Amino acid sequence: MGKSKKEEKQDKNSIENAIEVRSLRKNFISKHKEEGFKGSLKSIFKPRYSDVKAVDDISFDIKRGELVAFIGPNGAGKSTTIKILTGILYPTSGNVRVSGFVPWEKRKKLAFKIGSVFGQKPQLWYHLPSIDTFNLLSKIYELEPKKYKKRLDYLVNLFEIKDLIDIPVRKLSLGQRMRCEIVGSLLHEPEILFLDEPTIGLDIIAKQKIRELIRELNKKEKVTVLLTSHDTQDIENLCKRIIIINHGKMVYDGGIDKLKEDYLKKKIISVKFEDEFRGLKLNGMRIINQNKYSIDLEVDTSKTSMKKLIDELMTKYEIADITISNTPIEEVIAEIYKRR
Amino acid sequence: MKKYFEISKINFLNNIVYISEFLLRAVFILIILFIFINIWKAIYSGQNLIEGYTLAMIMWYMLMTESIVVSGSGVVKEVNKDVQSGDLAYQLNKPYSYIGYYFAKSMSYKIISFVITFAMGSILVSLMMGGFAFTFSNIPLIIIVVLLALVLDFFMLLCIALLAFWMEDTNSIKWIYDKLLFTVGGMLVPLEILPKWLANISNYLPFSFAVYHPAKLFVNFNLSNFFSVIGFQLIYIIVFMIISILIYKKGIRGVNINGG
Repeated sequence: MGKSKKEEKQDKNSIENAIEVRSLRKNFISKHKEEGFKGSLKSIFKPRYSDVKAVDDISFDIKRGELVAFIGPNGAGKSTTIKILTGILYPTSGNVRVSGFVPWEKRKKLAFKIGSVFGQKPQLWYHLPSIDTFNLLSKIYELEPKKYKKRLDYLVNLFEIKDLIDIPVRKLSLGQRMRCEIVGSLLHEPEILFLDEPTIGLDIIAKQKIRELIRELNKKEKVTVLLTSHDTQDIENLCKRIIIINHGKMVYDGGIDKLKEDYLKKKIISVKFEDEFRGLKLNGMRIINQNKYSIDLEVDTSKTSMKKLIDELMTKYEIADITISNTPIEEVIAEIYKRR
Repeated sequence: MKKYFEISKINFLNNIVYISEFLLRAVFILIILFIFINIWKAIYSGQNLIEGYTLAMIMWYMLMTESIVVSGSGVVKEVNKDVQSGDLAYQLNKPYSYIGYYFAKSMSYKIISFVITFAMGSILVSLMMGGFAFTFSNIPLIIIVVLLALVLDFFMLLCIALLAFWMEDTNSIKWIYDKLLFTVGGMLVPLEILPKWLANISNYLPFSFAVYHPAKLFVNFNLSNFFSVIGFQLIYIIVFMIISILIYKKGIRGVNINGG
C-alpha cells in the first residue's frame, strides 16, 4: 500500500519522537436523564444526547528520552488522551504515533513497547507475592527466561525490593507496593512509560524514593516518561517540560521555569525590620501578612520592578533580613486551571 | 498459547486463597442435594422407573447438573466491573487477547469449582443411595463432555458479559440465563419430564448441551449419543465464540472507559 507524503514524513519523525499527536479529537456521546421516575421513562422513549468534547484539537511531540509532565484538572481530558495513546480508546479524529505505531490499530504490538502504571489501579495480584505476577508478566510479554532473570535481578536491586517480592501483595505497604508495581511495568524494557499518579497516597519519604527511581530510570535507560500527577512536587522535581490541558484544549506546553515567568510575574518577599513597619504602597503590591516588625508581600514585577521595591524598602527602613521567593508552582497551576 | 496457560495457573493459585469460599458453596450444594434426594424419594415411592430413570440415576444426574451450573465463572461480574471501574484500561494495554484472558481465567475457576462440588457431592450421594449409578470405564469420555460443557457455558456467559460495553448492568441477563439452565437446560429435572413439545425443542437448544446431555450421558452412557453430543457441543462452542468475538470487536470501538 502506498503511503501519502504526509504519512511518510510522520514515519521519519517518529524515529526521533517517541510520541506524536496531531490535531487529536475525541468526542463522547453522553445520555442525559432528567430527575425522578418520569425522567427515567422519558429517557427510555425520547433519549436526549449531547456531545462532549473530551479532547479538542491537541497536538504535541515528545522526543525519545524526554520526561514530560502531562497535567490538568479533573475531567480535563488527560486520561482520555493517555487512553488513546496506549491504544485503549479510538479517537474521533486526528493522527497519533506512539513508538511508530498507530495505537488503536496496533494495540497488541504497541503493548510490547510501552509500560503503564496507574497509581489507583494496581495490576499485581492481590493475594499472591509479586514474584508470581512478575513471572506471569514475563510469559505475557514473551520474555526469554534468561533475559527475564537478568532484567528482574537488575530491577529488584535498583528498586530495593529483594525482601518484598515473596510477600503477598496485600501485606505490603502502599509505598512498597508501588515500587513493585513499577518493576512489573518495566520487565519488558518498555521504550515509553506512562505513569498515572504514581505517588498518590504515599508518604513523603516513599514519594521521594519513587521520584528518585523514575529519574534514574529515565537517565540510565533513556525511557521516555509521560507523567500525570496532581502532586506539583512530582512535576517540579522530575520534569523539565510540562504540558497542561484544560477543557480538552492544550493551554501550555513548555519549560516549567518559563511557565512561572510567563504566567505569574509575581514574587513573594518576606522582610524583617529593625524598626517598626509603618506601611508601604507600590503599584501591583499586596501585603499578605503583617506584623509589627515584619511583613510578607507579593509583588507583580511587571508593574513594579524588584529594584524599585528594594530601593523603596531600603530608603524607608532599617532591614534586618529579606527573603525573595517565587510563587509556588502550585499557585501558578491553580491560576491556569481557573482560566477558561 | 503459553501465556494463557500461565494466566490459568496464576488464577488457580489465586483461587486457592478463596478455597473456603468454594468449600462453603459446596456445603450449600450438599444441603440442596439432600433436600432433593428426599423429594425424589417421595416422588418415587412405589415406582422403580420414571421416564427411564431410577432414583439413583436421578440423584447422580442432579449432582452432575448442579456441579456444572454452580461452577459459574465470574466473567459477567468481572467484565461489568472492568467497564464500570475503568479497569479495562489495564486489561487492554497488555499483549494478550481480552477474550483469551477471560477464557483462561474462567476455565481454571470453573474446573476447580466443578471438581470440589462434584467430589463432595459424590460422597453424599453414594452414602445416601448406597452405590453408584454410572460405569467407571466411561469416566474419561465423560470428562471430555463435561469439559466441553464448561467451555460452552463460558462462551454463552461471555456473550452476555460483553454486552456490558453497551449496558449499565448485564446481571439481569445473566439471571435469565441461569433460569434457562435450570429449566430448559435440564438442571432441575431431566428434559424427559418436561412436556413433550418443550422437551423436543430444549433437546437441541445450546443450554441442554451445557447441562442436560453431559449429565444424561453420565448416568446412561451410549457411544453414538456421546459422539452426537460432542458434535453439537463443538458447533455451539464455535457459534458462541464467533458471536462473542463480533460483539467484542464492535463493542471495543465505541467503549467509553469510565473514570481515571
